[in-house]
Amino acid sequence: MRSIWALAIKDLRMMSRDRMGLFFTLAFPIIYAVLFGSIMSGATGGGGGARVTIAAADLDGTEPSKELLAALEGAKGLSLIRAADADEARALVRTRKAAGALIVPAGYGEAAGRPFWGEPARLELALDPSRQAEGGMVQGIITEQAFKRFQTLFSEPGAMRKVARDALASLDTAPADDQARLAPLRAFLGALDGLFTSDVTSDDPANPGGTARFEPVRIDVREIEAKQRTGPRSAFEISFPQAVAWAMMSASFGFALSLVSERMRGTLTRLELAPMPRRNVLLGKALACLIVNLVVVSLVLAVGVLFLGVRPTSLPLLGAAIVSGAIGFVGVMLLISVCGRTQASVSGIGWGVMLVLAMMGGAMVPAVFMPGWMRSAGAISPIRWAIEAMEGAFWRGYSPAQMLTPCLVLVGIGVGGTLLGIRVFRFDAGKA
Amino acid sequence: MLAVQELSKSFGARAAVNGVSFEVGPGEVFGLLGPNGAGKTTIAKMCVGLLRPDRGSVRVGAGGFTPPANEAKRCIGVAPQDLAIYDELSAEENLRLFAALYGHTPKESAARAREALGAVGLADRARGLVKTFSGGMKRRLNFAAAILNDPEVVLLDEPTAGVDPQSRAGILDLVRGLKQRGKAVVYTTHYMEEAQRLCDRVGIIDQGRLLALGTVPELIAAHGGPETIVLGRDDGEERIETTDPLNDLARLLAGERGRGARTIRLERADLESVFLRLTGRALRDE
Repeated sequence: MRSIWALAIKDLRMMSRDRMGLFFTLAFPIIYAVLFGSIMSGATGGGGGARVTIAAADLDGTEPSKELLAALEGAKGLSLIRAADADEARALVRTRKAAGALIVPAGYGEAAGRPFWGEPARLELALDPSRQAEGGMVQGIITEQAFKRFQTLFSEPGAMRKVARDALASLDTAPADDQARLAPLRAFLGALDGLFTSDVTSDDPANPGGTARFEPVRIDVREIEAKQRTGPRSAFEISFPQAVAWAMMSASFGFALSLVSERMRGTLTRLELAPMPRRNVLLGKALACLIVNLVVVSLVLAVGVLFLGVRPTSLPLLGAAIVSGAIGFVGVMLLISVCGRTQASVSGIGWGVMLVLAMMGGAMVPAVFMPGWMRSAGAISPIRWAIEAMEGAFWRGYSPAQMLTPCLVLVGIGVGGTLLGIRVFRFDAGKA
Repeated sequence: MLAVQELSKSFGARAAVNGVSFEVGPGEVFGLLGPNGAGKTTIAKMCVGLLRPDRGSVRVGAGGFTPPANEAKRCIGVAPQDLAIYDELSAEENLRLFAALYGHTPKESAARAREALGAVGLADRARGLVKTFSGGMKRRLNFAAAILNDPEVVLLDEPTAGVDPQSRAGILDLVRGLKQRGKAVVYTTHYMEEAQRLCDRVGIIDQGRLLALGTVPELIAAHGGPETIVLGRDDGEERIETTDPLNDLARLLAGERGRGARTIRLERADLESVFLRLTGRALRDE
């Protein structure tokens, strides 16, 4: 144990004297944490959120077209740039200033005013082909705003009566041959007019729309409340588990390189000459890595608590999550460190493995966007379990029994990785 | 102290070491000489357990332990040619770490580090970071790491490579000190003059085979060849090999051949001429 401790102290001393290394080990995880926290909090709807910018050209200039664009300007997640015409709007997309160009063509207002007959109101949306994901989001927001107008129409009996009566008047002008075919529509519009004239509906502003209000379903969106919450929740809190996972991954990665660095500089030979078991070299690294992980995570948490309003729900469970997470990442680090012979190879293997694990573990892309097989495969990623354990301690309000699974998996990954690393480790692969 | 018997090691089809045997006793400095790629480093690595021999054996210390057993590691101290010290640590921190790896308590480690630093003349730079040291100071620290645990056998691989004359003289004095303290020293070097001054016995190795083994006078007598009388003339030099220099010189001076000579020099064989005679003059690649 004395030699393991001496080796760990050596690594910690060397790290403390290498300013660049110290920056990458301590400060970089905090930068990671804040950056990923910001990104993730945007993705989860807090902290201001992500906004997609679109360019809009109103070629109609009617009241409905103006109302639509005004509604889009106020829509959550959307930012609107007004363009004078369609060409200017498309140019903004080509120059990447907007993800799409919305063109409201002439005639939109007229078509929007007669929803039950004739050609429907049309909009043109030109999308940047490289930003299809944002395009889908934009389509959703535009559709939502258009339906809101329809909903408003139904909630105002006077307006609805006018629509119904205008439509009936238009039917009167239809050719005589078509009158039989249009009879069901005439009956429907008549009934609609009757409905919005009856006392079932009301123009009372306190009860707009009365019982005939058009609202197929009302969804009240609420976020799951954390247990034992004493203050307002920070958007960062939701994203902090990912941030902490990135911090541990980043801190561990430096150690994966240090073993091969010793091999290249010849100091590994000195360790090989010492009368101690081969495993002590790796266990010394593991101990130093564990200590650094705990320090880095403590720093990241301190930044979160002091500056970002992060408050864990259970300190003991958070401690368990951090320790088991650190053990898990130490195991992965040791395994990576023994896989390459040069810094370039370990670096390549390390980043490759870490990025894949991060992707599969949900630290880069939310799990909901992953195919089913990838979500299942994510079970092998310590990042996935580290995030679950952290979330359990931060806001999911896990009980100790619920925390047991992610913590045990992480410790298992750590112990397994360490044992496998010790088995694979050779001072010199060229040795017979 | 160190007994090497019929040591052999191949890398693929190439035999790096082939049936090498030698022994080094207490208070003896044994020089291992050879051109680049001769097999010196491979032998040294097998002696300390960094490589396993294909055939043959190595026994270290009074107990006759076989490397890489921990008992053998405790008996042998090594100063590798490639400095094996941490630049980011101080001299004292390096030695305290190495002592701790031998199982010493922090207090014992500190005491051993101080003693070793004093022995190599680095006591006043104990807290200096190694990266601020000169090449000679680093070599001395590397040396200190080898003697830190008071081993029975000390293996020094090119300990004076790339150091200034002062540091070289200091290191040679340290080796003599080891000899006086009864240590068995294995010393590999390219410097023939150094080996001739320092080593009690020398083994010359080439292409994995031990070509010659003995004291320096024995090697010169056996492999140095005859002495040479060199007559300097206006148009160049005439070299005449001789086994009886005094009589041959008197005969030359009395005769026609000696009349035109402006200078007369007697060249005697040394370790370098033995080395070149045994290993040839062809340039070697590693």
